[in-house]
Amino acid sequence: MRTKKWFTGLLALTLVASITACSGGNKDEAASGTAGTSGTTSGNQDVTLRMMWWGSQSRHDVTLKAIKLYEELNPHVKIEPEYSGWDGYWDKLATLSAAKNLPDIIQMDAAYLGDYAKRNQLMDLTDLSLPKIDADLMEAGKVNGKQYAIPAGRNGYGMVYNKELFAEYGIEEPKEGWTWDEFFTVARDARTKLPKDKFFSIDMSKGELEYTAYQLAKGKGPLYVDEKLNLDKDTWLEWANTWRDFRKEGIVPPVDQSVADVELDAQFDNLVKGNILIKAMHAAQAGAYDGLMPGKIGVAAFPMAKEAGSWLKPTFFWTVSSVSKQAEESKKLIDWLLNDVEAGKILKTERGTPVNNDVLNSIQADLSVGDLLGKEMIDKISNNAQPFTSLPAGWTDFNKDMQSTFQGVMFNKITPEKAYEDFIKRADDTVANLQ
Amino acid sequence: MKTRQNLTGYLFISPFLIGFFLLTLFPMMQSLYFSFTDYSLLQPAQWVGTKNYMRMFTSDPTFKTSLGVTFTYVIFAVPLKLMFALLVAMLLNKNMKGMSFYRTLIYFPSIIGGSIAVAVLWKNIFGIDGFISKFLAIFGMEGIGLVSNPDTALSTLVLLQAWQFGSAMIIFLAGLKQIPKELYEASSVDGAGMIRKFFSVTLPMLSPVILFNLILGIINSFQMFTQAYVITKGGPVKSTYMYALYLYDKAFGSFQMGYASALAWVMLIIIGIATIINFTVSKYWVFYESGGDK
Repeated sequence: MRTKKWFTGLLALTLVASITACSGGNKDEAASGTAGTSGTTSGNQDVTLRMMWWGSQSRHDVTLKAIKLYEELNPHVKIEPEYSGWDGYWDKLATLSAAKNLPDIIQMDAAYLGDYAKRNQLMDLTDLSLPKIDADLMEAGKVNGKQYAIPAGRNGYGMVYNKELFAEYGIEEPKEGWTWDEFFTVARDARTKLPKDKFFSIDMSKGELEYTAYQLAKGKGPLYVDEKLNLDKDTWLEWANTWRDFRKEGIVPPVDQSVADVELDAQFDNLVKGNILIKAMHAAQAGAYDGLMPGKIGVAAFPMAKEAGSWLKPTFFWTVSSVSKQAEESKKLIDWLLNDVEAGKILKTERGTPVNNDVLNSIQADLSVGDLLGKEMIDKISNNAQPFTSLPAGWTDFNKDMQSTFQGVMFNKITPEKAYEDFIKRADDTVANLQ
Repeated sequence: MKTRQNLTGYLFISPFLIGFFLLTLFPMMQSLYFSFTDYSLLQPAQWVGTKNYMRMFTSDPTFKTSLGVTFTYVIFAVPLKLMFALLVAMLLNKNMKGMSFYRTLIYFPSIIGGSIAVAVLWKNIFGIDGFISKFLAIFGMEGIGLVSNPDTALSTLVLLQAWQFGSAMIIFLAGLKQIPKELYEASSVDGAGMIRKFFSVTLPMLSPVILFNLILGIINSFQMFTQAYVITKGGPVKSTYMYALYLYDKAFGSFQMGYASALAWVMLIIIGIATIINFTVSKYWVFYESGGDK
């Protein structure tokens, strides 16, 4: 009798558990498709390298072409590529790392580098000698003094704009060393010149990079200093209130439209659709914009105030996973991708302007208009660039919350003052949980 | 002899038992243990006692936000879906030529309603440049993106849930078929109209089925994930930041498996309590024909 009761209880528990489990059952599917295929051999025996990157179709195409060439040159190496767009890439990588099944070579973004390095998922690549790569650029790939990541390309943060619309409506184009005051004045003037459904700029208060550029220009330093939040209250209030006024005066698009903006999406990108004249963008994407609107794109550095607003950085990085059994072969491949002229000729600027100047010079002649735009932006920024600071490890959640609060301010769900208090409170909580 | 018989019995259900112990009970107990630890998957778990639970209830604003969003969602989505399902079931219960064709026609789209593909479709229809937005623009309401505005995003997701009435509808339909014709005939003789018949015959006779659908609906809605993940990513301004999505972000976004496990257990307890309340309250409104409980 007792067993029966026990058994009934167990059955009831199962029922609840299986009902509750059914909607969550598919999450680790992504991990199963790519079970470990890395060979265990080394030296010149056959080697299989798994390589993972995100990007657009054109990046996939050239990377696959480069891989093919590398396989021809090194017949003992077989490379298994895994690639996708940015969306979903990090979910997949997280799942793979949870399954301890990371690929050997991983394309890595600065926003995630700190976290992955601190969780010991990346290999220390300090002994990989890359003399041709600029030391400042290499510095960005260090975490706690160790070289976990190798810059895959040169990038900078500036602005892209629609030259054609600037000319059509007689608005003055950004020039070298322009200031935020000028930017705001031009934006106000543009309202009188543009038709009702066109706006000078996207609502820049939606992004923390745009704000960072503003705070840097105001001479208040980057957003994070010594792994702590460095948000200047007055600068923040000034920024938030300016954009609030702009929304009221219809200088920027309605909030819904600004929030729904998706970079380089034919349906959701306001610059591509011709709704706005200018937006903030990384140099590496300038070429892609030129692809969507040929001949219309101009590039500029961020406006300045006391100091410059733009910075140079690596586009992203190549890293090797700490579980890789093919460390040497992986390093060799990364070295080849960055320093080999033939590889450079195939890859061109798909991962930003080449980090090796010899490679850059050798491909200069075959660069397309789009490629040159990225280079032009970097040149404009490098005249007066801020140092690059990446998101410290453990702050990813905070960063997400911050973006969400930015939107809250835009939708008038929270005042800029309250938002500031919220940032400070969450920053304290983050520090407390860093251990 | 008795033990032998029992053994045979257990042997027959062993596929289930093995699956249950290995794939359900063991991971559940493991997650209970992890909920008291700091665990990033890569380093071994470190026992921290009730720290995760303390943090949740004292210093984590996102926990409250996501719980609030989820409760709001459940409170609106579940009744709406049930009412809709019942309405459709009653329409499909009519005797009409080609009824099975209509049933298939109506049931079919709603079973795929929970899929990623439909969520993507939904995103495009209700997005800033979607069909609905363009339609509203005709009436002078421009630049409205129902899923990109924090005031309307959650209601849009509720609507999508109501549209997935299919399985609840089928169960209702089966329940409706079970109601004896004599009851309707008798009430007709007594002079009851359509509405009277619905409230005095259909609803009481259907109440066990309603209870079943209600409990299932609540359990499912508390764990709502796919649509929030695909359509809104929890935004804008966390207005659709469902509890399950928060849990997922903690687990696979920032690798706080311990904290995520604690979140999961709190959710299990909440669902458990909701189910108990449902059963308790059901005594007062569910009618069993056999008269067993009443």
